[in-house]
Parts: sequence; structure tokens; C-alpha cells
Amino acid sequence: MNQCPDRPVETVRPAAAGRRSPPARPARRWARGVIGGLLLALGTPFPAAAAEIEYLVPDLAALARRPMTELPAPPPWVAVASPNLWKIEEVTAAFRQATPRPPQINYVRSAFVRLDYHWLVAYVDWFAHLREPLKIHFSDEQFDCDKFSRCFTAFADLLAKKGGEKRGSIAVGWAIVFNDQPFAGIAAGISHSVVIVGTNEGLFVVEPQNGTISALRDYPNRDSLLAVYL
Amino acid sequence: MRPRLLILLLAGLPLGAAAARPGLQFPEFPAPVLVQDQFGTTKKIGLLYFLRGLHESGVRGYEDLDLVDAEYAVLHSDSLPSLAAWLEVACRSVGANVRLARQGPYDGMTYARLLEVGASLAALRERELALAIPIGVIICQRRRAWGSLPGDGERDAYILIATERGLLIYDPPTRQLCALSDYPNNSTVLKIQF
Repeated sequence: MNQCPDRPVETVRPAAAGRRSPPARPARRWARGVIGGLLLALGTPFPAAAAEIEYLVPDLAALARRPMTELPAPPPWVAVASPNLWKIEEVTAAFRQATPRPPQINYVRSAFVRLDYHWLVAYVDWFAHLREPLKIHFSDEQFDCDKFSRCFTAFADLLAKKGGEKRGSIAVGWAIVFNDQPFAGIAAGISHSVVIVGTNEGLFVVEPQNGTISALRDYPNRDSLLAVYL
Repeated sequence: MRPRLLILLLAGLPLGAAAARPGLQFPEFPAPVLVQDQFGTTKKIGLLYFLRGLHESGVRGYEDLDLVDAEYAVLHSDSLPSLAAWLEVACRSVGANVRLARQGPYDGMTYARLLEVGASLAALRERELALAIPIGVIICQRRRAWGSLPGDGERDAYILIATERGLLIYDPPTRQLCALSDYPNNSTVLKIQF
């Protein structure tokens, strides 16, 4: 709060204001010297103060006043009956098997739940029906190929949660690719983004803008995948 | 006539069953507030902003920064409470409680993606900007504790947001928020992606 708007607010130190601290008494000086010496001898006995943690308070009341969007009924989650999760080493090996130039794989969890291939097909169809209620359309930078890919991935994550999948993250991620070849109506010679899905029938590439699905081994740009984010 | 009617009814059964399945009620994302420049237009940032932000925050190893878009808007930090609320309600709409997410195998990348998608769709609904929403993900090694998150050496991911306050880290389950410069593990960043 600026109480004096005509003058800039200044911080004045006592010394600069012409005031001096009263001289310390000899006993105090002695005590300060002893304490100072002890501190020097022991190093820093007190830990550095931890940075204060800030907590974000979600504005749930404001959100409650907003309308809800009705999305079509999603396909029921099909849990692949595999006792083992798909380890990151196996993901890397699957890429190595499909291409001599495997992409960099970025991940947080080191094991993933594979999708049922038939669920993937049903999900691709469901995702296409989100365009109207969510008003999804291509917009340069704002909602381009990588947003389509992340949107596809984000809703797959949500449906897995809805289906009660608690074993771990699902094997759905997105990738950056240089289109050496045209694929699914997207021209060659540009950087692009697609979805990568690990299923019980192998690794698949999905073009989220039109729902084209291809096995990674048949994907024409498998040698120019640059990075995958699982 | 009767067998024909029966066949028609049977043919329509799967359609009816699908229609009977309840749809998904999804919260509408509030339009994020974007920072304006001195001329009243939406402020744009790019690679240099992020490089400077990382440098000033004490993050090293810029080769671990992936920017997919060339130009981004800047989110006003006043938007953060509504962003956080949307994320929690969106997850609740599928029966997931964000606050309890760390009780199972947690993947912060999924929440970063979801929030970025929600904010991008909301901005798209408002107007076409040709700017990406600056919500990304930061993957770190937790060498030092941050609030209730232990310093156990585990790999972890948080939401990273470019705001007028600088780059902010948000952890949805704990609701912890801090500037990247104050984040205790800013020297063990493995990947940043916007």
C-alpha cells in the first residue's frame, strides 16, 4: 500500500538516517565473542531455514458454477490379464526390434500396463466422437498435432482410471517424428507428432487426428521417430 | 412379421446397450487468464524465455529441455486456483482422487498432460491465438525432500507452468507449489518438456 503517492517509497537504514546503535557494554561484547567463537568452532549448528512451502488452494466453488460437458459413453475398460507390467527395458527392446534408430524414451514410471488391442480400436473410435462436445479443431500452435496426441493420451489415462486400473501407468504416450514419408494423410518433410501405444499385440502408432492405426513395424516413419514421452 | 420384428429388435440391441451406457460428465475448463504485454496484446514467449528461466532457476543441462512449439503464451498466476480445481474435478469425474494418487504407482506426467490439454481446449474455445499454453512437465530425481515429498532418490514428475511469477512447479496430490528457483531438486532435473 503506497501511503504517500507523491514520493517514492524509500527504505532508510538507521545509519543512513544519522542514528547510531548504542555501544555494546563490555559484558555483552564478551558474551558475543564467546558465542561467535563457539559458532565458528562448531561450524553452523543450526540448519538453514527450509524454504516455506506454498500450497495452492483450488477454487472448487468457482468451478462448481460452471457447466459440465457431456461426453459420449466411453468403451468399457478391458484389463489385459498379464501378471507382469511392461518394463522400460522391454519397451526399448521393442523399438530396437522395429528400427535400427530407436527414439529417446522419456518416462517417469519404469513399467507400464499394456492395452488390450480391441479396447484400443474402440477407444480410437470414441476419441473421434469427442471433437464435437469438446469443440476440438486444429489450430496452429494452440491445438496442433502434439496437442492432439497429448489429448488422445490424456483421455486414455482418464479412462484407465475410470476402469479402475491401479497396476500402473498405461503404455500410451506421444512421440515427435520427422515425417520422412507421408502417413495417414500427413505430408512428408515436416515434423509431426503421433501416439505410441503398447498393446497385447505389440507396439502401435496412432494418428490421433483421423484415427489411423499402424503396427510400429509397418509405420513408414519408424526410423525417424525422435522422442517418445510415455 | 413376427420373426422379422424379432430380428430387427435383436439387431438394434447392441446400439441400445451402448446408448444405455452412461456418458462421461466432464467439467468445462475455465478459460485461463493470459498475461498481456505493455501494448495490451497477449504476451509471447519462446526458447529464450525458457533458457533464461532455467538459468536463473539454477537448472543445468539445457539439452534436456524439449519445446514442441515455437511460441507460447504466459499464464497469469491468478489462474492457478481454477486450473488446480479443474484437474481435481476432472479426475473425480472418472472416480479418481488426485489427493490420494501417490498412494499407488504415481505418474505426474499424466496430470501435466491432462491439465495442458484442458487449458488448451479452453483457450481454443475462447479465441484462436496461434500460441501454445505453457504447461509442461518436469522430471527430476528427488535427492532432497520438498515439503511432504521425501528425498529418496526416486524419479518423479511435476507440472511446470510459465507465469508472470516465472516458472512454477506444482504437485497436484500435495498441492505444493513453488518457483523452480526454490525447488530443492532443481539441480537434478532429468527432462523438461513443454
